[in-house]
Amino acid sequence: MNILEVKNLVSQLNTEDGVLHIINDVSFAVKEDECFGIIGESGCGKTMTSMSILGYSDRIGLKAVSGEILFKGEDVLKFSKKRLREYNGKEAAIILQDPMQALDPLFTIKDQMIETIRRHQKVSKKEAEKIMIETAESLSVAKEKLNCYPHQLSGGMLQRIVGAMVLSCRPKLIIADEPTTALDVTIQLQYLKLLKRLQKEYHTALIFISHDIKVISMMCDRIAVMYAGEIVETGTRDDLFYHPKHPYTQALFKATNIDGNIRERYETIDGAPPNLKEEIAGCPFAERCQYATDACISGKPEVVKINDEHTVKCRRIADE
Amino acid sequence: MSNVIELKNVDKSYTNSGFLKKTTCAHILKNISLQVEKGTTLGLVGESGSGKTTTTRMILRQEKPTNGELFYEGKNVEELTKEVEEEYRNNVQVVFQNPYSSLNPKMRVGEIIAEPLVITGKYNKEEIKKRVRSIMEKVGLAQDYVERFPSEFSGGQRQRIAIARALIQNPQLVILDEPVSALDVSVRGQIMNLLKRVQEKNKTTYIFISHDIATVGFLSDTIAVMYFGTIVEYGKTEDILENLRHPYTEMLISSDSVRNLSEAEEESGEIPSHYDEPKGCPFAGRCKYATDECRNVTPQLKDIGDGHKVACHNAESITLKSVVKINRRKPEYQI
Repeated sequence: MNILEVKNLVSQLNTEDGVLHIINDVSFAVKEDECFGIIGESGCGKTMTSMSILGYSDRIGLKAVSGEILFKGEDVLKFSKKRLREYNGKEAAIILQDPMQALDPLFTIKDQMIETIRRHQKVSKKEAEKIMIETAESLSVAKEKLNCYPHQLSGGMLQRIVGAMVLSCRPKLIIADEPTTALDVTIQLQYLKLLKRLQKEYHTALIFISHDIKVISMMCDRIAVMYAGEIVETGTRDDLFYHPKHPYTQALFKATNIDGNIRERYETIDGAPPNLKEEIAGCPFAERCQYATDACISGKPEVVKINDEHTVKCRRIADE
Repeated sequence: MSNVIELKNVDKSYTNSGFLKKTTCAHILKNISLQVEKGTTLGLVGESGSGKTTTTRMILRQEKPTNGELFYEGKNVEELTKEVEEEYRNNVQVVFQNPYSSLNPKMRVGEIIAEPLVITGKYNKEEIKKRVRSIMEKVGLAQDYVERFPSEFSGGQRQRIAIARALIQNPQLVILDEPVSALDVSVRGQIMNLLKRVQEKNKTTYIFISHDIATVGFLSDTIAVMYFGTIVEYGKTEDILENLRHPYTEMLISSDSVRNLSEAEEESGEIPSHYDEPKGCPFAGRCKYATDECRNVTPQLKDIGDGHKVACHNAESITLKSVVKINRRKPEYQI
């Protein structure tokens, strides 16, 4: 069963300099209980997509031109303010990159957690405290830490607390937007392991957004590769890792140096992502792609289905 | 080979005092000794809070060491004459982590790159223009970018601007404080290759700071692994990566190379607090090889042969595995 379906979403951001084409025809579906990964470089629209899913698009000035985002069959883009308040936190929630920004420095962790729980569930203070301690325990946050202020705790601990806050409302869908980027490598692993375990335990769907292939590959069952506001390739973890089809996916994997060995020179992708101010007529990667033909620059590539899960948006694959 | 910079038993502590408050003292750096040879790269690795940045702040003379001495080409920096001091400041440059905050948004790119030269007051306008043009070419920036503002550029381009600014005076030593952590993977390689090319050409000395051992290994000739204000392992890159002796180095390398979450080892413990220092080895609380000796006696940095130094009681008795291979070959394919 799909808990979330994004269908042909096109979103634009109106700025002083004109319209930015942030999301261009994005479609994907997330199943219940699954961990879905979105990978891409900065500026490719990962975060904007997650904001749209949460129904925040109006607040950040993002205008959905066409398409729909179906959460259990309901279109998030058409939610009323009241429905949106119910939806955020209770049904879909987000873990942000920097836990320091997600927490209020003036209140203790306990105050903030109880506030969150009582905002979404009709429970007394005592019951809320019980829920808080329960979820904090499952994230191995010690009870004493709950009386601290955010500045007294380390980044890894804070990120776990934010996780506990999100999970305390038992949402059906959690978006984790680069949750480990601000953490040290040694802490990162512990956190990912914890997140994965809880996702299984609480039966929530998780959309994991990151620019780090290693992290994504550890966490996710299915992965979408995003480039310049388009999803260029989707597939299971194994599809993408062992048989990447899109030139961008291939280049990204080579540039990451996945085996960790040290070379004389780094592999790079020459050039820069396209300017989103203009609507791109063809494939967004055409300019940097070694296989690009005139047809790639002038017309949009079709989505090619390689197997049930694996799809790729590339003219070269379609021609084969 | 001569040392450009040498740190001898440097300590740094900060005291925290207040009205009616007990004065507390945090020892941020403890007994740091480092040498950086001319034309080579020293890599500093460690988690956040391990003292990497404080060490470089000392070299940049933004902080004074509490104890210990700092030598520049064999001269104690505290006793430099005014002229040499000026030369020192011109010769030691820095590139920061975040190119979004290290460039002045109200200055044009040309002005940013030229500023170090303008400050010295030794060059006329024509000369400055010429040098700005040549450095921009070297780091791969188009000439017509001179009139633009930093906000018009992407992260990778901004980092190139920051590198151009650091290199314009032909410095002896460039401190690279996590120069690629804020960049995307595809751009990261471009900047790393650029830094390496510049070094091969100009014989610049680098101090490269990162928490990512793979990037450090790419550029460095020697590596110092730092933990909680001390150097726990110090030696040639090959020694540190392929023949490591300290459990913390193993942890850093292995956590970077895990590909499957079930492979990841369960670990406990956190970095201790500087205000409440543990007895013994600071890493003992997180170390799976820790013995009673580790918990009670602080290990000293010992040479185990060929300049490879380790601060661990069990360095000789435990076997650690390395997963990183150094394969300094040219890439076969270029995308």
